[in-house]
Formats: sequence, structure tokens, C-alpha cells
Amino acid sequence: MESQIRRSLLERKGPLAVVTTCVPSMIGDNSKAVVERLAEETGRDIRLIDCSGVFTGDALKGREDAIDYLCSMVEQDVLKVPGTVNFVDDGFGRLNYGDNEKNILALFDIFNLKVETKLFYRCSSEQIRNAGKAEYNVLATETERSSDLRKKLESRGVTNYLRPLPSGVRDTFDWIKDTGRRVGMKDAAEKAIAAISKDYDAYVYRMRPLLSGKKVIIITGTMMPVQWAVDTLNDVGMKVVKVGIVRFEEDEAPKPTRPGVNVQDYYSMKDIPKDIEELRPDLILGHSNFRRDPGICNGNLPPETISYQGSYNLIRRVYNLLRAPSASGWEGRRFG
Amino acid sequence: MRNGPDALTGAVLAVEGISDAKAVMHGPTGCRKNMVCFSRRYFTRVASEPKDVFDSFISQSDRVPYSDVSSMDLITGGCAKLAETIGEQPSDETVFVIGAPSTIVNGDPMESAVEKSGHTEGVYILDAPELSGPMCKGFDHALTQAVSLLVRDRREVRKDSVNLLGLNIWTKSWEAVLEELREMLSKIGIIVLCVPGAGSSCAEIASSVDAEMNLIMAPEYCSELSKFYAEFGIRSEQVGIPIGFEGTRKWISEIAGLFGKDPSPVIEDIDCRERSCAADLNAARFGHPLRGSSFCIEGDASLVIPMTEWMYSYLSVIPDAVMLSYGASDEQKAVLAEMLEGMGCSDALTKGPVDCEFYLSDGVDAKHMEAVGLCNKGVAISNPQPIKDFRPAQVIGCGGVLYLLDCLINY
Repeated sequence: MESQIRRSLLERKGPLAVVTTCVPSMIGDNSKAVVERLAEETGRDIRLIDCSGVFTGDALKGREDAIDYLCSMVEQDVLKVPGTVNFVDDGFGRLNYGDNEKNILALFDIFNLKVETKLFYRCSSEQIRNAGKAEYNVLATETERSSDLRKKLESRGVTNYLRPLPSGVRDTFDWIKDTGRRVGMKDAAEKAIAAISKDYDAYVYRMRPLLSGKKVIIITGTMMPVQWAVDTLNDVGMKVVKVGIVRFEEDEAPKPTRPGVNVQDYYSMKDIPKDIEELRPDLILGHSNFRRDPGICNGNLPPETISYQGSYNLIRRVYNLLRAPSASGWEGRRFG
Repeated sequence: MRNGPDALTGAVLAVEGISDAKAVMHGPTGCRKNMVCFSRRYFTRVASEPKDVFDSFISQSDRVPYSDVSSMDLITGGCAKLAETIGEQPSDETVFVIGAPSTIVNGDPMESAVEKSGHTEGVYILDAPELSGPMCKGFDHALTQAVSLLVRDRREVRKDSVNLLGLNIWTKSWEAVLEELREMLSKIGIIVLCVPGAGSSCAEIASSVDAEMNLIMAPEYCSELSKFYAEFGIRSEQVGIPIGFEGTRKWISEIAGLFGKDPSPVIEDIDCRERSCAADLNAARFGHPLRGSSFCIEGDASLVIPMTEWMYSYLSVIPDAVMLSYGASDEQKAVLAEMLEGMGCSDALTKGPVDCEFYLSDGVDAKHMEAVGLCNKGVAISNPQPIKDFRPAQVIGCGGVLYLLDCLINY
């Protein structure tokens, strides 16, 4: 271990994270002492991330340790650069998909805000140290883990958070209004909303006759915001007859919905036949895990949901799904 | 305005698709240069490639040699230059002379150039391609003329033998396509004698009249040619282009039926490949996100129609716009219209390119649409392409399914 750390110190100039697995803990290596001694001897920034799962805890614990370490690198009292913003997220899985980032950058363009750093996605140690220089920060997705990361960064001076990135038209309008107020550009916000609204209303007007009256069940997990999808489908005259929430993590609460939405928490695939019988949906939307071979039109929610474009993508996807065969040809061939 | 390749391109491709024939162009360098690129890229001939890297500039290639007529030649006559070009060709090569639009309009007497060249054996002059006509018609007419000049009398009817008509070197990964089709047909006891315009030699074309039957894969590329073969008493059956596993099953079953053969050995192979592919799609959940996404498609009707059907029925991807290349027949247009109506997608016929997830077209347009952000992924389904497929990347047959899934899922 010591020789490998010494070699890595020669090969790399920046900070070094030493990540352990189960075996060093099982054989009793005192990794902590080795790391501390070498840090003192060399004057370099070396940290131990103890990930020996059988002793220290699950993957979440290792992740938290790593996040703590990265946050500790952030230097405090860094001079702010006006007009800049950091994206902050637990994993960036959603933001990095398809056109999501392009769509959200278009929103930031309304206020002439430039992206400084994605914390922590493909950023250098230099960028992490200077994370505090962005004037604003924004959560890419609002989850418990992202919120936890936000708290840790705030304690290091990475403050001044805008509303989390929006999904769908209404959420985007709220985001634009709020951001306009925060950055002192209310006029630009109103102008942008008027332009988006005009285009969206025309699209809805065109699509409404094709979709009005169709009934939908949405089946999703706790991480996915769902109210925007309900609103979007209502815009084109569709009726969301149920939102089924499938629980993977007991302690993560479902995303809030407004009164009037028929939400069933702890939804199960076994509920599907009964719901098809009783609610007579035209379409089931949700991840393929949740909707195996229901015998009616079905499909995933579109992955590109961020910004107002999410509403367009959802309407288009729903229109396509209603015209698609209820089972794709390959699905019927997978078991021979 | 049409951006697609024209009849002149089709005529050159028809000749360059004959493995041991050469197209000589009577025209300026501007008409010739794309033909050199296409010929070298889609039917590379090792012996023709320049040995020295400094000779690799386009005019140094010996593919599609040309007379290099200038504006002055159009006044004084360019046939002397053509005679010189023909005279430079090796005497054992079969040469087809094709006029470029300028020399055709000028009415250059190309026959006299052949006589002056002193190289009359194996040198043929093809009719002028229809100016700005569809590529498929130019291909069909030039190939029919070339075949008519090369074939001999029908000596025997070789039982259980076929010619495949309509394929050409514009067909994406045509060598791999032919390998798969030949293998399937061979498994049910049918041999392929000739594929005119897609790699067959002059000798194979000469003996193609011995085939028991022609199988028409792309009718727009061979309506004239099939009529020519009919004069020899060879019947032509339209079997279409097999797209997807189900399409390939139907294709081989139909052919087996025509010959009274048992298709089951091939069907079992296809079933086995499909089960494996479908299990992969399911196991990794790769297939599900495609449902409900959309595509635009542009190309020859004989390819676009079965591919649209496959995208819809196999993957549940919805056609947003379907655009047929110039040269599609009224019958093909009617088939497509009926199919789209059944899908609830009739409006796809009236649209040009629209914002969509996948744009299926020739490789250049596919790349362009992706670059300008009109689609998430451009998928090449035909040549030309800005890249070279070093691995087989066909869209036809079972191999085509794997290529298409790679494109649609892995991006």
C-alpha cells in the first residue's frame, strides 16, 4: 500500500484519495496510520476513503465519505464571479441525458448566466477548490441525496441556490419567474415566458384533438417528479386516472402532487390488471419494470424532461405510444 | 430541387459494379470526380489503388478514366481526347463509355472515337443517361444495355439457380448482404448464378441467361433488365428486400415456395438468432426505451417500405416522415400509403424532415441531420457515407437487425 501511494504521488501532482476494499480491513492493515504518516512526510493532500464494505457500511456510506472528502477540498472565501452558476447533483444521470443539458442552457441564456462547474462531474481538483466562485448554484434534480450534498457545499461557502432545474412547462415558468426575480431581470423573464407560452399553446391546440379524452395511468418511483406530467397531459385534454408510486427506498417520500390527483403509494405490478379492469386506461406510462405486457398501449416516460421541452417530449411520446403496437415484435420472441 | 444522385451516377455505378469492367467517362473532371470516390469506396479493387501515396489524388486514380474535355473541346470537339483515353486502357479490359451531360448535349460522335482509338474489341458505348433522371433508372438502363452486350445464347436451364436483380454497390455493405443471402439460398439448395451490377463479372453476366429464375429485390433498379431477361424465357419474381427477422423468414419461405423447397433449415437459424437478439434486448432493458420514439426515413422505396414496417412492428418506433427517392413507382407509393394509414401515420407521407429521435437515410444526410440537431441519431441505411464500413454494416437480412440495433441503442 505504502509503495503504491508513493508511486502515485510521483505520477500525479494533485490530491490523492486512497480507497480501500474489504481485504485490507480483514487482514488488519492500519490504512489510516499509513495515509496520515505519508501525508505528513510529503506535505501532500492524501485522504483515506475507507470502503471496506463488510466493516464500514454499504455503498452509500462510501459515497458519503467520498463526497465529504471532495467538499472538504472546496476553499472558502473565494471571490465570486458575477453571472456564473454551478450545477450541483448527486449523479447527473438526468441532466446528462440527450438534449436535457442543451435545453437548460437555453434557459440560462435568458439571464446571461454561464455555467462554471458541475459538482461533481468531470471537474478538476482546481475547479472543486474554486467552486465557491460561482455567483449562483442550482440543483439538477431535487432528491434527498442532492439536498444533502447542497448542505455540505453550503457549509463550504457554495451558497446562493436558485430553484432546482424544472420539468415541463409550468415548472419552467415558475423557475424563470423566480430566477428573473433573483438576478434582477424580471422583464427578460416575462418576455421569455410569453414567447414559450405562445408556442406551447399553439402546439397544445394542434395536439388536443388527437389526444383529448384518453385515460392514462402513470407508474413511477419516488425519485421522479410527476405533477408536471399530470399537468402536461391535462393540457391536451387527457385524464390521468391514477399515479402509482412504486417504492424502492422506504425512507424516500414520493414527489408531491397537488390535490385531485389519484395517487396510490406502494403501487405493485399486481395492481395493474385490476386497474385496467376498473379504470379502463388507454395507456400505461412508466418504466418497463413496472408495466410488463399489460396488453394495452404502454411505454416509458420520455427521458428528456428538463425545461419546458419536457412537455413537448411527453405529448409527442404519448401520441406515438397510442399509435404503437401494444407489444413490440421483439417482446413476443424473447422466450421462443 | 433534388439533392440525390442522378441517372449519370446510376449508369457509372452499374458498370463499376461489374467486377472486371470499367466505365470510361467522356466529360470533364467535375462530372467524374464523385464517380471515382464512389467506385473506390464502395467497390474497392486492390489492383486499381495507387501504389504511391503521392499518386492518391483523385485524378491519378485509374477508376473511371475520363477524356478531360475543356470548354474549348466543346467547340472544336473532344473525341480526339476520348480516343486517346480509350487507347490507354489495357486491351484485356471490358470498357463501357458513358457520356457526361456536356458531351451528350454537344452530340460528340463517340463511335468515331472508339474507331480512332484502335481499341474496338471489348469497348462499348452506352446510351446517354437521362439528364437529371433518377439514379435507379440510369442504373437499370445502363446495366440492361451492358448485360445485353455481354450475354450469350441460353445454352441450358440450370435447375434451382437464380439471378438476384436490383442490388448494386450503392446498397450498404453489399458484399456482406450477398454473403448472407447466398448462404441462406444455398441451405435450401438454390444457387446464385449472377448479381448483375453488384460484384458479378462479365463472364457471370454472360452465363446469367442460364438461370432458372430471376429474383427481383428492388424493382425500381431492374424493371428494364427483367424485361430483357424475359426475352430469354427467364421469369422474374418479385421477392423484395428482407428486413428484420420476420422479413427474412418471409423472404426465404417465399423463394422456397417458388422452387418447391423446404425453408425450415434457414427458418430454424433465423429463429435461433432472433431468440438470442430478443433476449439481449430484454435482459439489458435496451429495447424498452425505444417504444414511442419517432423516426424519419428517406431512401429507395424498396428499402424504405419494409424498413418502416420493421421499425414500427418490431420496435414500436413511429414514422414521423417517410420520404421516397425519386424513381419510386405508383404501386410502391400506394403500398406505402396503405401501410402508413394502418399505423395511423398517414401524415408522415406529407412531411419533409422533422425533428425526431432517429433519422434513417444515406450516410451523408444522416450525419448532417445529426450535426444540425434535427435528430438525436442519424442512421445510415444506404450509401453514400462519409465513412467507410470496415466491418459489415448492412441493413438487409438478419445481420441488418444487429447493425440497426447497434445504431438505435448504442449512442
